Amino acid sequence: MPSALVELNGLRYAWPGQPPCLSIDHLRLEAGEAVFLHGPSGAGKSTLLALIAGVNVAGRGQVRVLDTDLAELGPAARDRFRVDHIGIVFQQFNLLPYLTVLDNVLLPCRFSALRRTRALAEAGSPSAAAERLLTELDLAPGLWHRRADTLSVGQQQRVALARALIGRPELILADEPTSALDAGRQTAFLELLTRECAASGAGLVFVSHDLRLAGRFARVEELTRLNRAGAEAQA
Amino acid sequence: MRGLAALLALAVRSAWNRRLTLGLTLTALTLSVTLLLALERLRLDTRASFVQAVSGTDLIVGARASPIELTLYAVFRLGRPTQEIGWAAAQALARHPAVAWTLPLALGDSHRGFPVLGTPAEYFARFHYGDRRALAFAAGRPYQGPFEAVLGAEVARRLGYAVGARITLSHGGGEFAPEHADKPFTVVGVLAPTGTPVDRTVHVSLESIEAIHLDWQGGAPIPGLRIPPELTRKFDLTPKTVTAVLVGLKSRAQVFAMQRWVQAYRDEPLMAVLPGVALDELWALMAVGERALLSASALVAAVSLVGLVAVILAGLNERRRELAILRALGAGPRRVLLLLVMEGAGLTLAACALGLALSRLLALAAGPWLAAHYGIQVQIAWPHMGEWLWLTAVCAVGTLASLIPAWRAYRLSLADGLTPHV
Repeated sequence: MPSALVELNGLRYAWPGQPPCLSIDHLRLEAGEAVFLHGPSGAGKSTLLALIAGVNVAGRGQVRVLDTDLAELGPAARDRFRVDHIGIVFQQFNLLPYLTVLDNVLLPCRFSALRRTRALAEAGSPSAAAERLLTELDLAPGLWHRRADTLSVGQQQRVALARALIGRPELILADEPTSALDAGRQTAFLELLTRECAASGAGLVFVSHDLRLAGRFARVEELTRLNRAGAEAQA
Repeated sequence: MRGLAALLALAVRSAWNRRLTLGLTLTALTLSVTLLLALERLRLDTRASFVQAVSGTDLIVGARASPIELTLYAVFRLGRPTQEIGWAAAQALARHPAVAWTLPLALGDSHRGFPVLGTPAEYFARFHYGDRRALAFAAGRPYQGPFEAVLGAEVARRLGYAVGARITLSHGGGEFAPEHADKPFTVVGVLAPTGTPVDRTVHVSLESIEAIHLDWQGGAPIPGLRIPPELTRKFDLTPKTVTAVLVGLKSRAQVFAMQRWVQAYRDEPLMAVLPGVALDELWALMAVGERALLSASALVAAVSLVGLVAVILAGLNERRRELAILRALGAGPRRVLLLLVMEGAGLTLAACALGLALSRLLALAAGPWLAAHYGIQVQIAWPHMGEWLWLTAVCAVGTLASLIPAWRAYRLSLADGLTPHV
């Protein structure tokens, strides 16, 4: 069996002092695969993303990303692993307002030698890689040197996507990235997101409460079905 | 390490983005550091000016009383000597083989509130102050004959006197002291400022002091007796008593032997004090006020540090998204903690550096004025031990205090994970 991009086994997680909120027996994501993870708010979507990103560590069970058991890494190594291999897009406020658009996109290359090397190999320089991504995401060169907080929300989300993609991380985590956009822009952004992930060869975990967005995904998972924490609590 | 450097660069950009609030806090902190350093510097320099009111004098000899009293009137012309020493004793001192020179001092009269010192003209060459500095004339010359006076810098400035002015002395101190109006003095010299009690002194010869008191007895003119100035020369003007004698020894090693000799002098009870020791004791008496001032400025610094912590803490909630982005970029909670501590420590350090520079600028600007008005020689020098201690204390407390917002940021970034719950 080829190695998985993400593999969860017997995962249990509870926030400190609270009842378990996540209990997933098994979930597997192949390299380059895109999955739509659906769940209402409070279903544990953000928690699951934090576990996959290695920001939090599972109390029990296993989270493997790229064949690495995140629990076996030390805290510092886990933080480094995250910036090396995972790009993250938040709901909104993805950017550091005091940096320019270009500097925001280049951030992962400053923190990760691996992503810097890949950007270098791909485009000749990290800046060139950033500019190419920004162009692909339809952000005009006139915007590149403006402060990030002078852009519209839609533009900011695209800059965030460019930042997640630079240096070709293997996995993109997107946490309701379209919820701050209006309906028309939601579809456009989603299309960009899936297309760019495919082009970059990155796997994508897209979580949302909005099932209307699921149409573009070959694979849709229901978190309420995967997560047995509620059922276990009742039993 | 690469991540740390990038994080530091971001911290600077982030701080610059909040420059208004941070700038105000930095200003408050800088001003309080300046205040602290300026007060400390002033304290040290005032002390130096005070303790160096006399130098090169090995012993001060006077009638047996308290050493502090003797120092007060012999050096600072303060208070009234209750007992004088006889001229014979002063002569015996001068003849002692270990003694290089003596300067008899006769005090008691005044001119418009300024003390009058009767002493030989040799005083202007012998007397030293500060770091072995000699007296200098701003104008004129030492007195040569009777009824000639040399003024200290402050006397001349405050009363508007110049060489050639005529003044009359009063018997004793105070506003309503009877005047020696029949024997006016001519100002023949004005001394350059020294920052010592010399500036407030009117100097005349011992003979002049004797002359104006020829027709006096018991603090008042003898009724019916008038001796005009020109006739005073016909009298023996050798003083009968003096208030104190400054003694310079041939060798400093003999100072304690000489002190014992003075204490054991048989003809009258005498006392010899070491000026340095006496001045130190005096300073210790007066140090209470200066300490209160210093604690007040330390309090000001503490308040500014509290302000710094409050500002960083208050801004933290708005920075939770920034912290989440840093987390996504591979910054661990400990890095976040470090980031906040560096911000607080950096600001404190900057405030210390700016405060140091500002206090030096202040000294540069106010130095000449302080020297002219108060005779305090402000040093514009590399920080003194005491100043280093204050600077270190402020930096240490600032860094420790910034652990408070840092710890909160650490907790927040643990609790928030990737999703700030704002």
